[in-house]
Amino acid sequence: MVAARALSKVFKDDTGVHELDLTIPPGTIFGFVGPSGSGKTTTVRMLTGLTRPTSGSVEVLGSVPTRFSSTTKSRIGYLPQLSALYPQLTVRQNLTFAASIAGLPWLGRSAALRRVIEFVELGGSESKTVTEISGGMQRRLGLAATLVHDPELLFLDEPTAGIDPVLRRKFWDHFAEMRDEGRTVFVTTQYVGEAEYCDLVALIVGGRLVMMDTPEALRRAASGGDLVRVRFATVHGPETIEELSRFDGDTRVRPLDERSLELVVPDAARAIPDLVSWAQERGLDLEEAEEHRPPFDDVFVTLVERARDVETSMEMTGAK
Amino acid sequence: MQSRVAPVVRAGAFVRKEIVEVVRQPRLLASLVLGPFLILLLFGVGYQAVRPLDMYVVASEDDFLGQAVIDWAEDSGQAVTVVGTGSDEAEGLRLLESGDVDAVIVVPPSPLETIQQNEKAEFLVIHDELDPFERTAIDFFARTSVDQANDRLLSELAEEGIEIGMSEGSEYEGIDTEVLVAPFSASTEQVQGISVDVTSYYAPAVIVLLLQHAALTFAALSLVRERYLGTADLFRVAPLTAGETLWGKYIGHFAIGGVLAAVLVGASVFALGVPMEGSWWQLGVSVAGVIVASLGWGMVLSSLVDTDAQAVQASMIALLVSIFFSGFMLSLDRLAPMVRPVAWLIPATHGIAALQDVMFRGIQPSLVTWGSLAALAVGLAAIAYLGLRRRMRAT
Repeated sequence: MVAARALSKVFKDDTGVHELDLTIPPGTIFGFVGPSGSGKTTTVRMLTGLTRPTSGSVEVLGSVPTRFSSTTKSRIGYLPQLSALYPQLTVRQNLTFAASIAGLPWLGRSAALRRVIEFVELGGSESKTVTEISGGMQRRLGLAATLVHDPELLFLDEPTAGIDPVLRRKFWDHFAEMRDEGRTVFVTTQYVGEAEYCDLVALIVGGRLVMMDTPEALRRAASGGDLVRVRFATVHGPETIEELSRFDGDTRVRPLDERSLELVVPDAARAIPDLVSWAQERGLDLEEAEEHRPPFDDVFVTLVERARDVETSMEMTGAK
Repeated sequence: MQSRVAPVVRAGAFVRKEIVEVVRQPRLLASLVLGPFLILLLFGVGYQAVRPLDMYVVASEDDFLGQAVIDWAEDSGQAVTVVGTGSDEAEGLRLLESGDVDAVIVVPPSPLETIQQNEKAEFLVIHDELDPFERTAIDFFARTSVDQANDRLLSELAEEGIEIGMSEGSEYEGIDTEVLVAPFSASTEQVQGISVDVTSYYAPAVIVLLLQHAALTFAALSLVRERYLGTADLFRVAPLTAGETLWGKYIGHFAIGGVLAAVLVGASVFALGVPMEGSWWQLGVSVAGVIVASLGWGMVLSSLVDTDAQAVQASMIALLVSIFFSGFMLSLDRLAPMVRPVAWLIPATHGIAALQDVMFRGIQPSLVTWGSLAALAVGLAAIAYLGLRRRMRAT
């Protein structure tokens, strides 16, 4: 669906995107996660044909974006970072305009409008002008305008930026629905936690791709395996830590407090029953043993710091 | 506690912000300062205080009065040029209609006989000037010519020893003193159309200028606004071509301009009583030409500027240029030939001429006038298309 090889866009001040490799299969929610100014929008602009890459190659829907045909363009939906709505027009008029520029015929268009209005829950506000609706509704209207021509590939540039958590969650539910309908959704976000809702996540920092994988794989990569937290009824001693570090081969153990420990195991589902048996065999009163899923912000920070460490050490090695 | 200088600090924030904002828009600065300066400079260089009048003199061969007019023209410096003489008035009128001369002066054929019949011999000045100020200039020229002729006749009579007066036996006995002291008179005649007052005369020019300004400003703001709102990026990702974008915008703004034109023309003709001598369809074609050509200029400007402020300033500059160079304020004949191409590039120049032809002369505008509007409309649309296509490409 989308394939980029060594894709770069370098601006005068040396910022931009460097040597990006991306492969996005159809029917996935692809999260492009990174802090503000990391190169997310530049990448989206290269993938949609708005910006010409400095080097590298890119193919979207089998075509080079800067040479998209009208047919290819009609298969793409794009929601820019700015609302891109006409303030003096009503919700319906904005959607009608979006449908027109996508080339949707006049006849039978109302069904498409009804569908997207229902999808983003803007029913009842069709006659209001953009200035009369809230920022969240404007963002939903923008999404509706992107969907009105029923595209199979969507590029959504920070669709959830600046909106409340409840609405953000709704947006992700919408994206999941779209994915389930067979669409491919490319979403950029600076809310790292939203990576959780994606099928595939790419972390980008300073214009460079840190890692790209499923959210679960990223989490495991950050912690080195699955995390299991155990709590004993009594204070654990150093011998317990010592024994647990040999549990299931080589297990990393980190004390959380005097009764709790965190273990890094290859597979939490298999390790937890084994841990219960292990405690019973030793007469230890194990109160709790459950898998811990660290917040994605922590995963992101760990991966970014690790990438920076690698980069620094490579630079130092190179310097030597 | 707030310091005493806090108000100054707060106000100072705006001082700095305002200056930086303006300085960071070099195109706005250039259009604010350089634009009006260049227009005034061009006007100063191109404006001719004395409008040279090209005349055709209808007089019989060796007619001393015809020669008097020619001599006077030569003495006038560059104010009047006799570009031809002949005894055929029809030839003079043909030259007048084709625009090769500004006026035809018909010298009275047998002046002495007319005077002897106790009547003033009349110089007829035929022109095609609607502008009340220019008509006054032609009237002035006619009166001056007649004064010259009067002087010349009286001198010649005196030189030939002909007794002028009411004395008995004189050849001119019994002729009124008024005829004797000024035997020639002058009248002016407009070759076609009607004579209009100052208010009516300016009505077509005001209509055209307002239409041009509205169309140009709307179009100039239109594309800039798309960039400002971010919708321009949507267009580039959508299966939309520069041609489709431009075509749609042209039709939309043309409809608005059409309604505005209907209101302006209707109010002028039916409420203010401005004459409408010609056909409405010719008026419609002329107005349509002005709107489309003006939209073209707006679209071209829109592809050159970056902000709303620059677009508005550019349209104001265009208005200023039009006031000076379109014939709205001063006749185009008062512009030096080297400056006239500026006038030709202004839709209002041709629009004013076209509306004056239709409304006051009752004739169809010349093919040159309509052709110029059409050429501007097509040429500017092509430039606007190329500009927009460039803007819609990947950066």
